[in-house]
Amino acid sequence: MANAINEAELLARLEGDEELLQELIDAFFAESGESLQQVLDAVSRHDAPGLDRAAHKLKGTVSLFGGEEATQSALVLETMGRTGNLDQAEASSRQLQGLMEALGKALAELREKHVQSSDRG
Amino acid sequence: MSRVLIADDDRVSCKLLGGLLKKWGYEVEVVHDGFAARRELMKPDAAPLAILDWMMPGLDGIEVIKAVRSAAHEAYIYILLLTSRDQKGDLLEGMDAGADDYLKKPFDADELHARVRAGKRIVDLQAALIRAKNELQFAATHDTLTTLWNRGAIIDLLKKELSRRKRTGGELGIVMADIDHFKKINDLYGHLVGDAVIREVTRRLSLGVRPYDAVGRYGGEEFLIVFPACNLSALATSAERLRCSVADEPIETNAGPLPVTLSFGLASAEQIEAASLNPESLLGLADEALYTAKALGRNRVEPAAAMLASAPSGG
Ligand SMILES: [Mg+2]
Repeated sequence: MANAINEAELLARLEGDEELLQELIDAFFAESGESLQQVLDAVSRHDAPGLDRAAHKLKGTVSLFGGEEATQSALVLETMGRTGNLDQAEASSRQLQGLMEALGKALAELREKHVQSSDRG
Repeated sequence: MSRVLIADDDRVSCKLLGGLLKKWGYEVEVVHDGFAARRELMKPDAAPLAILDWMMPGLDGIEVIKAVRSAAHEAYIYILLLTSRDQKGDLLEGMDAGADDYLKKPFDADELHARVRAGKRIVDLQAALIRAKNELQFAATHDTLTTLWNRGAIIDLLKKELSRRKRTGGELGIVMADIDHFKKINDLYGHLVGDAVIREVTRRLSLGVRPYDAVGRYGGEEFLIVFPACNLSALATSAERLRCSVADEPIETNAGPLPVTLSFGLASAEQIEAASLNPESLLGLADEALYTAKALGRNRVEPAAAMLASAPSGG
């Protein structure tokens, strides 16, 4: 859980801009649910090209937050989609779903922390 | 301020790119698919810098780049291609398609900033070159004192109008106008006053013509005006209006208000047989008419005597 995001890397990526961090986390919550759903739908439809596209997009989003595990997991699904071998896709997508929940929780905590620190400042 | 177009289907990535670029002083436009990116970049006033995601719905980044590069834009668009870290072999394809640089996701702010700055250097250099080219082009075709078309340019323009008339038909007239007794103004009041008179005459002539008429400085105190879609009688009306605009009100100069008049010679393309109609013959006809106007006492408008009195009109 502690590794769901890399806070130092994330802040460096934003030049330490806390306001931008808030916006980015808001955007994550606005977008990632749909992106994950597209991955899950593609898996349940056995739609390999669709899985390739959806997992690629989700991978891009989570990689911005330094979520290594979720990024890796999305990459595995993307590769399955590209190669057309969906044997393990069901299990992998459940794993990704769990990692996305962890990432969401970590980002919510991070937002809370920075709201408080900027309120005090 | 430089404008940057961001095209990425990942809205979180767009937020990050847009947020950073705005902070660095760029004006940001955002689209989320390849078709919208192509549409924006094909506009004549497209952003000079573009950051394109490779994988997008509709058209991908490579297809957008190919479309942009095959279009005949005057200004170069500097394109940064976004790829993902594990997308190794495809990089060459991106550069070959016409990307100027690339950035791997997830990118660091420092790296993004450095690459965008590099792009801005190219874009600024390009803008300076286009500006210099336009200034040279203006200087080569315009008169310094009046900023009217210079002699070479107004004759070129007449040439173009004549060949257009050859293709599409229609009327075409020219007016030669010469300031009366200009040498006396120069001798009595000096060249600075003479220059001021030429500038004010220029201003009144320019105000008195239609937007699609062209006024040029043909010689020292001589002007050539090209009137597309104007027959001889319309030409006479226009020239008379121009004559009054100068003669009716003295010109204010450092030497006090000076009465200034112009003589006008008119010629129309319909007065010359098609086979011998060219800039030289038309100018010669207007010049003769101007000479007549001078001989008959100046400050007057004289149409050219028809060269082809015997020519059948209208076939
Ligand atoms: Mg994408």
